[in-house]
Amino acid sequence: MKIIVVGCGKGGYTIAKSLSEEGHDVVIIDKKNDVFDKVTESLDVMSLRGNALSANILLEAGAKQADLIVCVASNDETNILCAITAKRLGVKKSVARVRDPEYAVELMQFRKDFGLDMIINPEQQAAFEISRLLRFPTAQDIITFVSGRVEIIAFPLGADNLLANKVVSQIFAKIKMPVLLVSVEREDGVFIPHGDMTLLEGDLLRVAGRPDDIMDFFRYIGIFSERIRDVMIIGGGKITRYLCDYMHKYNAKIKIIEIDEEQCNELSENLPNALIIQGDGTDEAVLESENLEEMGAVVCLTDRDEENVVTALYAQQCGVGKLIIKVNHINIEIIKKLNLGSVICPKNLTCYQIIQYVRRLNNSAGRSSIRAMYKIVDNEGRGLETLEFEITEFSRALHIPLKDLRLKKDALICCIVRGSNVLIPCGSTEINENDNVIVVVDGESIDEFDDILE
Amino acid sequence: MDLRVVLKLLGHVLIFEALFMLVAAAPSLAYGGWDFEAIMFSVGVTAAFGLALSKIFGSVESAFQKREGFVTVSLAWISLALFGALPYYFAGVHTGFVDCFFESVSGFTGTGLSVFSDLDILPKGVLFWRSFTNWLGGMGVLVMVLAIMPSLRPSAINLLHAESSGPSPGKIVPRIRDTAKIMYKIYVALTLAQIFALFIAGMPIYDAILNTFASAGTGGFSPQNASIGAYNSIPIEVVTGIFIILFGINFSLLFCLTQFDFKSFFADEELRLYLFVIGGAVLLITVDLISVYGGVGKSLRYAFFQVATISSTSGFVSTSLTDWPSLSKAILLCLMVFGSCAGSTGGGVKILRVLVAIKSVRHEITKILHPRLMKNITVNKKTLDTAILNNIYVFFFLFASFVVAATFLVALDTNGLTSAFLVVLSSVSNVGVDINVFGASLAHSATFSGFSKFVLSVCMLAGRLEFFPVMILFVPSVWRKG
Repeated sequence: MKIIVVGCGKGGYTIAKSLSEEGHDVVIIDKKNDVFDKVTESLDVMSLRGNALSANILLEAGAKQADLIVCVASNDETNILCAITAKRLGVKKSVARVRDPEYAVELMQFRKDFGLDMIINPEQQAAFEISRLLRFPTAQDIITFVSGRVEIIAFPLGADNLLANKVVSQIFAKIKMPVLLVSVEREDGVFIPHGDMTLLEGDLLRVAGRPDDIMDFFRYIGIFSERIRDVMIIGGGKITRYLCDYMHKYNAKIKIIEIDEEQCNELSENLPNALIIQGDGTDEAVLESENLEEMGAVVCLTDRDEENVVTALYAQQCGVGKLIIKVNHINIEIIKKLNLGSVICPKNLTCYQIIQYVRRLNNSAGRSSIRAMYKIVDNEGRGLETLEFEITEFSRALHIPLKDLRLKKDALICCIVRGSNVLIPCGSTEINENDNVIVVVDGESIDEFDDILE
Repeated sequence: MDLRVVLKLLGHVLIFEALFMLVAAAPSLAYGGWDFEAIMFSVGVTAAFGLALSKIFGSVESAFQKREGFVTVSLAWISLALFGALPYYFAGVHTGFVDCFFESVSGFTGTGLSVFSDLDILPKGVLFWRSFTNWLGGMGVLVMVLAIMPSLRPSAINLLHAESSGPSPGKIVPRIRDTAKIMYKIYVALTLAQIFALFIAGMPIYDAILNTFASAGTGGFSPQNASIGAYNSIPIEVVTGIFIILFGINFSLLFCLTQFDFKSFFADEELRLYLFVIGGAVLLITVDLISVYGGVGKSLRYAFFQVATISSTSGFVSTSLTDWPSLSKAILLCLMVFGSCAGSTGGGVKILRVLVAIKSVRHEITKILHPRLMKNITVNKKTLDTAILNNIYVFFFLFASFVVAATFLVALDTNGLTSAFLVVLSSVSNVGVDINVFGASLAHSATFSGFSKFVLSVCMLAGRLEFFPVMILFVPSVWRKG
């Protein structure tokens, strides 16, 4: 597909990189010249300098033939206007990033009237992810499918866990719970486990299943913990505002520490239920006076990655059980190695959302369509993809028992959602029309379900 | 620097070269071919080296930095020329390997200086290869590798940068591979068109193909001793003239034409200056030549062809220049330096750089009048940043330095400073004719010593690759590990 990306900040760069690597023709438009050195050296895309609101620049970027425009410039208004203009000039689909909470709500409502096909709001999405992690603190990260009916949840394997040093096939033969182990991540990478693999202490395991079943599984292996009631948030930006909205529904007690006085005032106006403290989130005295050690969770959301990491390190020393860190610039894998807790990266979330959208566009006429796509990436940046497909009548896999389907070696079918049932597949399970199937694949990226068949 | 990546790509380049050499075996067979064995032997040697390199380094996967790009391009061209000299050498029609190397460099760089005083003694296969090197070198061999080889990393753009002409070669479409493909498609299409046109104009098919190769690469390796002059035909001169002017145009602009975007084509400032320079030169020289040829028609005919061939840096000859007045020769000398457009197959300093230089001079003068002037230098309404401007100024300096230094070296064993200067200029700009001894350009180069031929070879390579890739080879830190 021919795709125009407007804005080449950290978000735009990540999106352009992923799309280009997926084989699409990408043109980047940015006002500033200095961002292009990095782009032309490392990405196989075309870069164009200029104001993306000008019709001429858009035409020069090939707006007439383009299939998609992704507007991720720094300014919301630019993004909205640019997406609308481009659509009028002939771009088939438009996506705009809108961050301002006020616009975001309204635009979601009037999206169709403006001719926008998708609105992305990385902060809101990040807040949503964080709220899920707080409700379910055992998880290091959670991926949801079929509007929350299936989840893939990651948890680290402790030494005292009864799964440690056991062979995979034995564990699940014994437990007989409707959950499926989908991946094992350790020092040398992330794998889809096979039956005779031994789980080791320190592995990061991911299991798929219905959320309730996963809860039961966690209770069984003794790592279940209740949802968190006391949360301290460091930094009072947009994510914080969205996060408070989500958490408010669960009656969590929220304490926000923000250094900027004006920002504090604004927060207190908008978030009457939260406790807002004006102070430096990296200052130990401030944290201690606000009873850091009694907090169920600490969420670090300042704009500076370094501060987030340092605060999290301190909170870990104080014995806070759950830590969530936002990073934007630092390589996310480096921070994961510190074993601090969950790491949230808004630009990656946005990027996955866009790739998911592009792949769906790409095979809208195909045998199945992508509903969701997430990446599980290891320290080397290599990884697995988890995808949800809706199966249509054209799939080659219909009504064949799974044991007779010839799947590629590095693919795994984790769950089949049929109506209100969630099935963990076994050899005799068949795939029907309109099923939602969740698969995990290693390595190559796929556009439709049939790609995992031999 | 990671030399393994470089050697791996070098292996690919040599395999490509062997395949192309194989093409030359066809005419050899078709025309009796006592050079068939020589060509096949060259193919064997080249392919063996190429396969060995890509076998040894085939598994290497590493990012391509700018310096690897530059070193690769430079080494690739040197090895192309070295192995490209084999057919001449094995066919035995030479006076030493240096001569063969010189001929090969001259071919690949699209210069057109030749050591062969009589082309009629060359077998058809070798003669074909000689013109074919013009064609191969014209667009760039690595650009072709980019177009054909799958799975190159994005940083391979550095190869395109180092090999293409002009201060900031860009992409036409988002992907390098597609860009390279489009450029070659245009190149091949124009080549076929010219072969057809020349054939219609009455040239034998073998000559039509060879002359087209020589025009496409703006090289000038015609299969006849008297170059285009041998046919003494107005249609042939007109066809060749028009096509070499076309090959001297930026290929991204030619791409605009294929998209029916005539507006951006004719609005391009570089193209306008290029056509203006050609038009002006034709006019002046025609007027100047009336005294020599007596009539406007004849003067126009020779003026047009000679201006086209020099301006596009092809270096064909249609008539003897010995009797031409000094003004005409001086104009041709200027055209030789200016060269053709950036992003074309031609040489010289490139019209774009001349344009920027003119604008810079005007800018500096306005700055004296208005010291607080804030104004950017723009081409086609786009501001050029300081990095590109500096690169252009440094380029002019390097061009001049190379000419001066090489003149000094060549003058050591040639009598006549002027002739040394002219042949060096002709080499650095990749034109390949010597204005002073026009008409005798073919035999001329043979008289130089081995040392001078080596210096001239370096000049041709440096001029074709626009100096920086060649100069980087002499930086010791490039060769250090890590």
